[in-house]
Amino acid sequence: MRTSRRQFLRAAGATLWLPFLPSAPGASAAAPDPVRRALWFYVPNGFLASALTPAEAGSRYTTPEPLLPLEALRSRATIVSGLRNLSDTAGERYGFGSHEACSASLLTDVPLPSNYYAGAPRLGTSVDQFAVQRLRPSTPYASLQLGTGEPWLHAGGNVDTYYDRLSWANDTTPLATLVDPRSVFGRLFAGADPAATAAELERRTVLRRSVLDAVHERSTALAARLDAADRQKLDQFTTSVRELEQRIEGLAAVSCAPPDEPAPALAFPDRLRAMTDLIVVALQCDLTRVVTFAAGTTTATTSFPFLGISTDHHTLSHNFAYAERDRTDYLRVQSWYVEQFVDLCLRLAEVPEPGGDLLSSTLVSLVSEFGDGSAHVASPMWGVTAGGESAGLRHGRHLATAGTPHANWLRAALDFLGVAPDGFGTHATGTLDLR
Amino acid sequence: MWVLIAALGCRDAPERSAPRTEAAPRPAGTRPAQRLDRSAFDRALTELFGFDGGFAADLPPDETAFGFDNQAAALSVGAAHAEGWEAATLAIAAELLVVHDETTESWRVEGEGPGVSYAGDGRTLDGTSYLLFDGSITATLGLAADGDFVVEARVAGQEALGAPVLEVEVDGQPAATFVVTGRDFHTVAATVALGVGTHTTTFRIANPSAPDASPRRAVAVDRITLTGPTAPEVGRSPAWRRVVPCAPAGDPSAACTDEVLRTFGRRAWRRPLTEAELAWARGLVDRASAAGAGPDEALVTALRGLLLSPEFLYRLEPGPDVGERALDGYEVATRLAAFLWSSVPDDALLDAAGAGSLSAPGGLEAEVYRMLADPRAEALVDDLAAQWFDLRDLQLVAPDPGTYPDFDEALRASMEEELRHLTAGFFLGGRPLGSVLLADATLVDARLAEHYRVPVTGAVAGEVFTGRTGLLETGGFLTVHSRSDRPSAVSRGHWVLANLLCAAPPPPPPGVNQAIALAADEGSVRQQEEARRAEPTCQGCHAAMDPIGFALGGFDGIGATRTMDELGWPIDAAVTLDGDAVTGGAELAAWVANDPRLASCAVTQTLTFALGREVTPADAAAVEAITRRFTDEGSTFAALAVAIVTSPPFLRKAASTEAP
Repeated sequence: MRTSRRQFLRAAGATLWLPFLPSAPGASAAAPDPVRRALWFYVPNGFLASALTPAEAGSRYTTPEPLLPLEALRSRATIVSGLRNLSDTAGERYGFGSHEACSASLLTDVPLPSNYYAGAPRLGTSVDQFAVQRLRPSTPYASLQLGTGEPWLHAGGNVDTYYDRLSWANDTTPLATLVDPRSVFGRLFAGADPAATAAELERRTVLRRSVLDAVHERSTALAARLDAADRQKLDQFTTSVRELEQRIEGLAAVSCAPPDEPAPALAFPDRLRAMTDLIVVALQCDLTRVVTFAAGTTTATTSFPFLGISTDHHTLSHNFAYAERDRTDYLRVQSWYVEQFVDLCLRLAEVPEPGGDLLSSTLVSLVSEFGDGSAHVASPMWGVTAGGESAGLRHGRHLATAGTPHANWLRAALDFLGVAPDGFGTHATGTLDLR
Repeated sequence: MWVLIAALGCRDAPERSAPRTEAAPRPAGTRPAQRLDRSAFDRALTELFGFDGGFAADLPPDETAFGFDNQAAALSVGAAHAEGWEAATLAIAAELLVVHDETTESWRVEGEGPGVSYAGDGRTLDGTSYLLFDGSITATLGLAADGDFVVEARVAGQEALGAPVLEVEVDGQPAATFVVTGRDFHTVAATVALGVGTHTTTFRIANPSAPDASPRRAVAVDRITLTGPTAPEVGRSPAWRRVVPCAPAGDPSAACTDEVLRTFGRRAWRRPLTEAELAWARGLVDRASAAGAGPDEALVTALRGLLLSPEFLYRLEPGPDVGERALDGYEVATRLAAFLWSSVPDDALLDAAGAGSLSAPGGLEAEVYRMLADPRAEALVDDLAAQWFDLRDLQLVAPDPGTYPDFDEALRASMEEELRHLTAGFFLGGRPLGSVLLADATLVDARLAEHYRVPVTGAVAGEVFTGRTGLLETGGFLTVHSRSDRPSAVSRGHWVLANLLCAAPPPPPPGVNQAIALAADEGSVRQQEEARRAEPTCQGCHAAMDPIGFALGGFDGIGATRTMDELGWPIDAAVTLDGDAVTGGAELAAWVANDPRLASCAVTQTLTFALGREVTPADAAAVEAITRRFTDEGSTFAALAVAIVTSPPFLRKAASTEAP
């Protein structure tokens, strides 16, 4: 029964998929403004800043050995070091480990509330959503939150949300991460039905809209009877439905050929690869312009048998300070993640666009919550920014900062996207200049 | 894995205790609108339409809090939700509207034909049939209708020391066996109930001869046919007839449409619709008709509207503005179905709610017993037990193949079956809570028996004495609470404290070496771990956790018994727990089972799930009363469930004062 259901889903929508034209992704030809995109690639359990930071600043740096995979992208990437996450405070307050303080503040620059173990999760708007809410993109998906679904150490209590939600629409709405490549494929390419006539597709769209209009009437009628806590939940619902309505409109304007459906039950490296393939397609087809991708959740216990490493990622991140073998393996794992990031950037670079390629219109940031996983500290934070040359970004260098708030780096992405960064970042003191 | 329900600081832990929960901004007894979690969404649609599930597959994972997936405060809604919900309703609409024709599909078995594949030892006979020695023939068949189908095959046998026995499996389930006598082709047939979709039928010889025997038993197959449905399932689907009984063939009258909206609306929203709500639903029918939908599609469109409304997707309990109020019958019925079935009430429960019999003396008890006896109660194992006992983690662990070459997917599946069986004994089987810890016989199949080194022959599954005691000595538990390449005493001990005794130690401080690197020549693993954790910062918590794990030292990282640790030192499983000398898993299980915290922790865990909210200190009196009743009445799940559903936190709701 599952088969027929999936087949139907792909036949249900309002979109006529046309042969894919690589040089004309959606709005780029029509819109007067150049298309700008942003992608955050998150790696859990820290980058060991001390081992990945070149000794020299500027363009004549020597690449540290664990960072060698970045050489393939050197001319199109900037290493950013020395940043401080000033919102990593709950750990200090409680005196113990704070994976969640660092992961939650990574894209929000909002510290955990002081009593965050109690009540519903609450934080603040993340940089990607800050951008989306101001850009109000016309793409079918305002943004995508994608992950790999790797196992991690659930914390229990009410705090799990702070571990595995990087994107927040507002202070009470963490955004769920989709982790199954087939499910994401189904989302992105639902509605393809070459057999249906245009009139039939239009009729289906009208019916879908009627239902969603009626549902809005229900929420409005209901809202009057509910108290504040219920209404907060209902607001999330209403927003979700409204976004779906916009998507139904938006998808009708997109022409793009769906790729092959990912295979089921992929092992970790293949699952990561499948998901990043979908990211490339989503950006290429202009289905969205803002993506956060989490290669895992903080405390991820991913294992790496394909690297010949038997210790899990979280354990490695603590043990490297004590055992040479674990240190070597921890760095090999980080090299591997850097390689995946580089690989994704190079796939973006293979897609030609007017005046450049997909990478030159996309700011891709490699981020992690810790600069030292064993010590559970975010700072000094280490990361990489790549692409985005269409806005004049210069690369091939190591940008060594001396304690610049990491929010300034996040704001650089807002600046790139053409969003005024004012109001973003609890501790921002400006905007990091990547030009 | 860290559950900070009654988050305790550890004994003598210096200056460091877990964050406390008493600062909750909400008063006890309230929860915001509770979104249906994935399991509840799927089961609710299954209940409403009689489909076989799979509706939640494209929804994002639920937020977990307090160890469970159904915590109202934590469950949020993002862009992907409306999309996933709508996709599910579109799929349902399509299946409701489909009109089934009779299907006959036929495959000639001759070499590598499309839709047919072969495995094992066999060969093509003259290009017209296939001779099977000990392999199998699999035909993949696509069906467009639900119902009973006849699977037929034309076969001929070759006898050798007895006739070949041909087994037929459909979708991996045994469907029929035939003794094939006679060398002339003849037809054998079996009837199977199938649904729309793709199915595989497999034919194999159950009693193959040895490969070197001569002659060998064989069966020749030259045609596989699937015909049906034989029962009158042609036409509208059973789902349509269930939802629209007044127009089983379609084209409902206005009165029928009204009737459907009323009946279906009550099931989906778990209460009767008001006249205004009915008018709204009728309006949606009209809107759909105006947009070009025929009567059937217009009705289905309105059903989609009911399913996409917050009244279906959330469990709403509006008010009170101040103080607290009793929940009405329908709200109680909704909570009952959520707790015991992870679903929506059935008609019987809604009728009981409407008639007021839930508030009559004994009314709730009667419903609990009826519901626990219903197959839908298996949701308790799938959800409550799976989340409380972390059964799902077994799917996530990845034992290192170099260290544990014996671990494979078959073993993983067998371990999971054993864990489900063990917990089901309590949740569904009427056994006391202690049985989960103390059972000396569990469901063990051949693969697990081999792992446990107990003699079980054949593939027969059943309860056998394994020489192991309860949950803590199951392969599944022991595997989950291990590192990929060695067992973890800390993880095992922590889980027992957190999930069984609700006494979770806080997380470790930053910068600590969480996995001790072992030296080859500094004593046993246990000795080295004890030495490293001797410092006061560590000792406070580890003194409580580690001995529990050391008592299980006789089991490796995939739960196999061992006498030597990974460094080759003899296992020392003797520990002292709260002054009691305990050696090995069986004594440990008895120690945990005798701990008075076990019962109250079971109550806290179950209550957290049943209420969909955190159990706070304000609930202490209720927890105590429920615990007393639970233990007084044999510590069975039925006693626990009755005590919970008749308690004030379950039946009443306080005003929310939380500011947004």
